[in-house]
This record gives sequence, structure tokens and C-alpha cells, in this order.
Amino acid sequence: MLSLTLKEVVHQIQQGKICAKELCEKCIARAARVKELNAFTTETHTIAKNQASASAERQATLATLPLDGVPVAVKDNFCTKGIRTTCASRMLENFVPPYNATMVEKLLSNGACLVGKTNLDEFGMGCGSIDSIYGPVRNPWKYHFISQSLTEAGLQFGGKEPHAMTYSQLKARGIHMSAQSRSKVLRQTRETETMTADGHCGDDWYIAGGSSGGSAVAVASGVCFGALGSDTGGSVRNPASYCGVVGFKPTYGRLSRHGLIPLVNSLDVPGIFTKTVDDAAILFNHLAGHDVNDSTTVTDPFHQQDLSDISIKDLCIGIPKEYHSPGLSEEILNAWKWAADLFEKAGAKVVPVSLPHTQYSIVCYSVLCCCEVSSNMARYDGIEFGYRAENNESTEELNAASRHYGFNDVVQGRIFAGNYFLLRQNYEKYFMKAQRVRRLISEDFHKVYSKKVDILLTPTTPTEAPLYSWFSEQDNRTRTAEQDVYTQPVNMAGIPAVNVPVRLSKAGLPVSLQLIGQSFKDHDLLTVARWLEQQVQFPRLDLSYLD
Amino acid sequence: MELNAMIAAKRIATCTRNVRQKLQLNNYFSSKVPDVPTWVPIDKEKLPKVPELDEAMVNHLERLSLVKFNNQAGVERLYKAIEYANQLHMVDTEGVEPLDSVLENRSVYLREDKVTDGNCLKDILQNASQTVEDYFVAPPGNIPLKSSDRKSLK
Repeated sequence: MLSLTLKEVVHQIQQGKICAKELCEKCIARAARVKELNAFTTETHTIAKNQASASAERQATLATLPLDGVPVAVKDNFCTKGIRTTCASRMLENFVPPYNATMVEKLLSNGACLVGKTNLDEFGMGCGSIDSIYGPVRNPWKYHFISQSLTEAGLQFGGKEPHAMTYSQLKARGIHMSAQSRSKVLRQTRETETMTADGHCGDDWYIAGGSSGGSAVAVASGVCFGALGSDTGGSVRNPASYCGVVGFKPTYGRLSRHGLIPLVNSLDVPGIFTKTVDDAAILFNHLAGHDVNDSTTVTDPFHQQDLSDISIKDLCIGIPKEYHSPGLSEEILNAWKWAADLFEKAGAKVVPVSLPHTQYSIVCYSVLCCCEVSSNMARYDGIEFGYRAENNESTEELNAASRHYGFNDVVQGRIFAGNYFLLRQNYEKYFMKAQRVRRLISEDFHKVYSKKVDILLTPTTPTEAPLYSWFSEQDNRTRTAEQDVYTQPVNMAGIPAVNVPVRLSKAGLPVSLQLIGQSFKDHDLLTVARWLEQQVQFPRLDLSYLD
Repeated sequence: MELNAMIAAKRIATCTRNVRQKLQLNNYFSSKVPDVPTWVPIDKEKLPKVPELDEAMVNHLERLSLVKFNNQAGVERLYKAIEYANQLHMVDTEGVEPLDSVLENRSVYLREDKVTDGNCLKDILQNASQTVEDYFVAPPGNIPLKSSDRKSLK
């Protein structure tokens, strides 16, 4: 049941073939099986069960809602009424919003059941989902689950003391260790251990990507059928790429950000994780539209639309040459070529194009991101909400002490850099300069689209999912500069983009590509993405052996 | 002359087609994807130097940020962020207007200046650690953050 798509689940619930309550129970059971992936900051199983019961009652009266009984998860930076919303930060560890974000409200009012809030990099700042006060998220692909080890060990030792074993194994894997000591242990084990025959890597594991890693993992591991993330520079598409799911970042202005705790206002967009493109379109249809509480949502009427079949022959696909950057792996490059050829062989016009400022986009992003972050983070003063330190010397001392404890190094570093770039003497040199470069990046896209190119095909990430031990060797800023190269230019221009998993690498990990569309032509983009999805027949992860 | 050129062109076309067919048979790529990275190497010598982050600057940033640099590592992190950002100066932006919103050409929705909610005192105060008689509590104001004691940082 958990390997069904959202579309299938909706259909079967509407037809009465699946009971909402039973489905919810199965998802909760799966969540327990995959708990060590650490995808959730807060599990809301009781709430989900109550919502599923309400769905079941509506099922009985045949007055169902469009998403009735569909288990979903929400990134822990969307406000949820009465459910703590932490941003994986000590600052908001005890913050309980008195209202729902519009995206959450829309999911719930359409009948969906919330199974939990998902783990992320603190405040969404990162691309690995490892910088969270709740510990890192783990990629389910090629992951050696403890429950598996227990079964194997049980066969060998006649099942003695399974609990003791669980604990010692948890400890050995460093789930509760600090990031530093964990990576040290992992580095040591990596040197001594070799990869096992089936591709598992001893006690190391693959990262989920980020910052919405928890949402990607929740969908990939079958705990829910759709999840919300937020995408500032690739935070939806990057983890979708590593976890082998569809990750859709709609046009800026289509989905409301009311109640999404802001990171970079001019770039932030709510995003959607699902198993298939059709599923993403279903959620998008129910989430999009103007919101009086968010003046950056456009007022043009939004029409729900099913994805139709397309004539691929009328299509012009652009291949931006600058997206072959240093660091692109052979595996991704070959998949990119393969997919470009798929389009060409099917009769589409495939043309090389140039987006000349791509190289500078990630630099531009680093400046704009820090500037807006430093401004956004100014709200956390320890007084109205959030962590308050024990310092009553002066307001400023209290502010500084609260912020010092409440924010991790990454957040603090971005605040300093942002305030440096925004200094009177640096404002033109860095902030305005970055905004000027942003216009050039945005114009690059518009120029290409004005030359009859419909969609761009690019990699999403430079490689398949990296190992945790490797990833944690460098700091957050270095990794962001490598990882977000192909995703953040899209945010600069506000255009829609979607991650489509296309095949498995030699190591058995998902290889994904990105399709980039035109402003407010989200459905056209998804239609092409669905065509690609149908051609490649990506083998989705099936964890039913854990149940 | 013209005829020869045409024959030559045709020959090249046939040749290309043969090669392409052969490539496809061998399952090689006929792709439009470039084979090698296309980025221009950046000459770091041409970039502006990062100015010294002296004590006055560090104190100033701490005051603005209301966060204290933990140690030298925090200063080094800032240095690297500035060094990285300096690559922007490779781009010619002469005459280019800054872009601060992708919705710049649309008139965004503004609601009427009317109160639409209220009576949520409890909701608002519930997340504050300290309150007195429905007020937030703050320590004495107008006292600048003390500067950390440290030597000049490079």
C-alpha cells in the first residue's frame, strides 16, 4: 500500500478501496521502521490518526475532500497551529505557533493527514540536512537498517537481547553524537572498513541533501505520499535529487509563503515532494493561488489543470552549456547526455544555449542570501518568542546572549557576513553589485526563452548523494558553493524548476536531472517532466521488506 | 565553382550522417551536452584584496549583529565569505539596474488598511519566556553591548 503513488491513493480512497485509517496506521508503522533516518523533528501521529478518522467518516458519507486521508509531512519551518515549529534551531525549540501557514491550512482543509514535521538544516541554511539540533538526516538509499541487522543477528544468535543490541548499534552509529566526534569516528571507520559487497558502507551512510532533507526522505521511504519543503537556492530539488523523488519548485508568486519562516524573502518558495510528477501536479493544483496574507502571491486567477499528453515534436529543449561546470561527475554528465538524446530521438528540437552569467550566480547568491538572512534574523531577540538567555544586564546583552546560544555557527556566520556586506561603505560594492548581477542572471533566462526555447534540461546536483564522512569534511559555506551551483540561478529569476530522478548510478544511488520552465508556465514544465519520467521508468525505492 | 561547393557540402553532409549513424549504432552520444567544463578560470590576482578585519570592525559587526564572534574561527569564516564574494567584481555591471524582486513588473496586492484580526493576546504572549501583566519583559535598554577583549585580528 505504501508503494502506491499519491494519485493512486487518492483514487482508491475515493472509491472506498482503501480505508484512510488503515493507510494512516501503515504510514505510522513505516515511520517507526525507518526512524533511524531521522527524517522528523516532531512526529504528529495522534493528530494524523484523528485526521484519518475524520476522513474515514467523510468516506462513509461519500462527502470526501480532494486529498482525504492522504498522509503528508511538512518541513519544520512552516508554522503549524499548536504543533511546535523549530527550524531545527535551539532558538525555536519551544516555539508553538498560534496559526497555520497557508500551505499547511490548504493541505489540511483538503483532507490530508499530517504525520509529522520534517528535519532540516537549521533555518534552512545548508544543503546536507546535517546541521540540525536534532542530528543529521540519512538517505534511505543503500542504508543498512538496524532492524535488518537485528533480523540477521537474530538468525545467528537465536534472537537474544534484541534491545541491548539496538542500543549498542545506535551508539556505534553515532546517532546521538555531536557532529564533530561523529565525523571523526566515521573517518576512522572508513579508513579501516571497505564497502560490503552489496554497496553498503559500513557505518557510514549517504546524506539526504538539503535543506529539506527530512521531507525528501519521508516521501522516499514511504512514510507519506507528499511533503512540503522550501526552496531558496535548491533546498527542495537538491534533496529530491539525492533521494530519488520528484522535487518541484514552482514560480515565485504562485504559492503562499504566509507562515513559512523566512530565510531569503526575495528567493524563498514553498516546494513539493512526491514520488511522481503527476502527484506533484495534484498537490500544486490544491496549493496554488493568491493569498491575501502574502502580497507576493500574484492575483491572476489560477486554474487547476491535469497534465495532458504532449506532442514532443513541437518542443524545443535548451541545453545550457554553462551547466557543465568543474566538478560535474561522469555519471551525471552521461545521464544528462542520455536524457538530451531521449528528447532528440523522440523528435524534439534540442539546442545548445548559453546562460553566460551562470558561473557568477552562486557568488551572487552567497551575498544576497547573507544580506537578507542578517535582516531576517534580527527578529530573534529572545523577548517576544524564541530562546531567552539568563542575562538581565541590558537588552543588548540579553539579545546577544540569547542569539549566541540560539543560533549555530552557520547562522551566526551568515549574519556577520550579511552585516558586513550591508555596511554603508560596502553596500554598493557588495549588495547592490549582487543585485545588478542578479538582473543579468535573470535576463540570461529570459533571453533564451525569447528565442523559442521552451524548457531547459540540466543536472540538479553535480554528483549522486555523497557519503556523510566525505560531506562533513568541509564547512557549510564550501559545500553550499559546490552543491547549489545548478539550482540557485532558477531562484534568482523566480522561474519554476523540477527535479526528475532518471536512473540509478553504478553504486545504486539515484541520478537525477533538472528541468527549468518559464515564469507562470508551471503546468507546461510538469507536462514535459512527466514525459521524461515516463521514458526513463526510474526504479523507485521499495522498503516494504522492512514491514 | 558553385556546383563543386554543393557537391562538397553534400559529401560532408553524407559523411556526418554516416558518422552519426555509426555513433548511434555504437550507442555513443550525439548529444548537445558539452563534453568539457565551460567555466572561465578566475585569476585571483585580479580580485580586490580583502581588507584587514581589525578590532574596530569586529566590534562594530558584533554590535550590529548582536552576536559575538566566538573566536578566531568566526573571523576567518567572515574573511573567506568576503574573499568569495569578491568574484562578483569580475562581472561588468555598468548600466545594469539592481533587481530586488522578480515581480518588479507587476503590481502586487495590497489589502485595505483595516484591522482584520485581534483578541489574540494569549496566543501572542504564550511564546514569551517572561511576561508581567500582559507585557513583555526586557532588561534596561540604551546600554551598548560591551566589546569583547581581544587583540587585533587578521
